[in-house]
Formats: sequence, structure tokens, C-alpha cells
Amino acid sequence: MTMTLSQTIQQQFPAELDRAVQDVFGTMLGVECSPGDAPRKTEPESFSVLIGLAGVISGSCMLRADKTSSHYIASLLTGTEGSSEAMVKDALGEVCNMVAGTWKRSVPELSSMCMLSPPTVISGTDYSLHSMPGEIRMQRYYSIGTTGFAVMLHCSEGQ
Amino acid sequence: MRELKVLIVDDSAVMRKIVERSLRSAGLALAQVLEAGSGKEALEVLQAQAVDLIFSDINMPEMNGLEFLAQVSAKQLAPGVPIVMITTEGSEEHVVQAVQAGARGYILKPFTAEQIKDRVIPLVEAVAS
Repeated sequence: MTMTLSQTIQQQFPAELDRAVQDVFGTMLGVECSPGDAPRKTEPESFSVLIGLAGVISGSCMLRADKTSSHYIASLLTGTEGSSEAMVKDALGEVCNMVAGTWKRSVPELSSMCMLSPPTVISGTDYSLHSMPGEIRMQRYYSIGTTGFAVMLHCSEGQ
Repeated sequence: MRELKVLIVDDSAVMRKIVERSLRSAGLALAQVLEAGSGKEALEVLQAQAVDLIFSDINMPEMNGLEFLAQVSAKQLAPGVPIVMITTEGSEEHVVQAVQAGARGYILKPFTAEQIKDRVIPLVEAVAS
């Protein structure tokens, strides 16, 4: 039986996303990153990165991390301690862009048929993200040392 | 190998610094590193001065990397200068478009300094010889 694109994405997403995250963090940040459970405690302040997807699927790929994790990820990517908020946003945007791009390349149907937008970063203590209902709503948590982050995919087939 | 004047085009300042760091780690001698946050800014840089090597992202606001390549070629802003794309876009279609527009190299993010070395040093040596 032939699977639809949505079914293919839902079936392959966890394993392919894990590979993409581990590739990006291992290559560019020099750390091992493993899938994990949702954190029990979260800080009030967080950073959320959104990358828009448009083409054979439309929606967004998001990365969300609390403030401590965001600063840690930025320091690993830039190789500097004490990054400014602008640098943290830039670094997280690039990490999310690389994760989304690496994951997209793993799905042949998406590779050239789905465009990624430049990242948009939201930060603060009092905000919520709402995306339109879609066929695909998936989320994975990852841990690096004592910190962690979530990657979410919310999308539908078609434009 | 002579010291190079390099232009790095990426909307992320963090990524521009990572590319520079990777070039130095790869053993390239850099006389000067110029940076641009978009294709449009990069065209302004090239209209003002010559460079030896250009690295460009593809997904950028204002003017993307492929449009930048087309403009560089149409305006003859960097004749003979190797242009290497560094991007997350890895489809065959993107690679073909980039090569047709004048790119001489294509590196996927995430990348290692070793990959930069393998792809870039032959280009630099070819231009020098």
C-alpha cells in the first residue's frame, strides 16, 4: 500500500529528526544530544524559533528552549561565553535552520519541493504559540547535559 | 599559499563568524574578511572592492544567494573569483541552479572545517595556478 506524504513524514519523523539533531549538534556544537522526556521544571523565560515550510507541505518547524538552555546552545555554537540576547537569537535561529534543513533533506519528497523561510525568533516570559490545526503535529525533546530543548513540526500537505 | 581577501554573505552574523573560524581552521591564510548580511549588501561590497573568494548562503531576506549569484554574473562584479554556496538547501535542483548561476562549490550546513578544506583549497589553488 502506498503511503501518503503525511503518513511518510509521521512514520519517519522521530528517527530522521533524531539523526538531524544529532548531526547538527555533533558537527557544529561538538556535543552529543539525545532524545529525552519533557523537562519536569521549566523556566518562565524561553526562546522559540519558527522556520516556515512552504511547498508540498506547509506549516512550521519550531525549536523551543528555556533561557539557560538557549544561552548554553549559543555558547556552544559561537565558542564564546556570555552571549548577548541578539547573539542567542541568531545562534538559535541558525541551529533550527540547520535542523529543519537536514531533516528536510532526509525526506526525498520534500528536498526540492518544500522551501524554508528565514528563522523568526520569539523570546520572553509571557507568550504562547498557536499554529493552525494540521494533519501533522509532532514534538520531540532532546537533552544536552543538564539542559534541553524541544523541536516541533506542525504542518499539512499542500499549500 | 598567498593571503586571501574573502567575502562571507549570510544573514546570520553568528554563521559568518563560524565560516571565518572554519576557514582559518582549514589552514587558509586570510588577509581580510569582509561580511555582508544579504545579497544586496554583498553587491555593494563587490562594487567597491575586489575579493579573492566568496562564500554565500542561499536563504536570505532581501536578495537570496541565487539572485546574488545571478547579479554578480550579470554585472561582471567578480570575474574568475570562486563563489562557494554554504547552505541547508541540498536538493539537486538547488545545486544545479547554483552551478548554472556561477557557483564553483557547494557545502551543506552542518559542515566541518575538514569539508571546507577539501572543497575550498582546490579552488584557491586552481585560481592561483
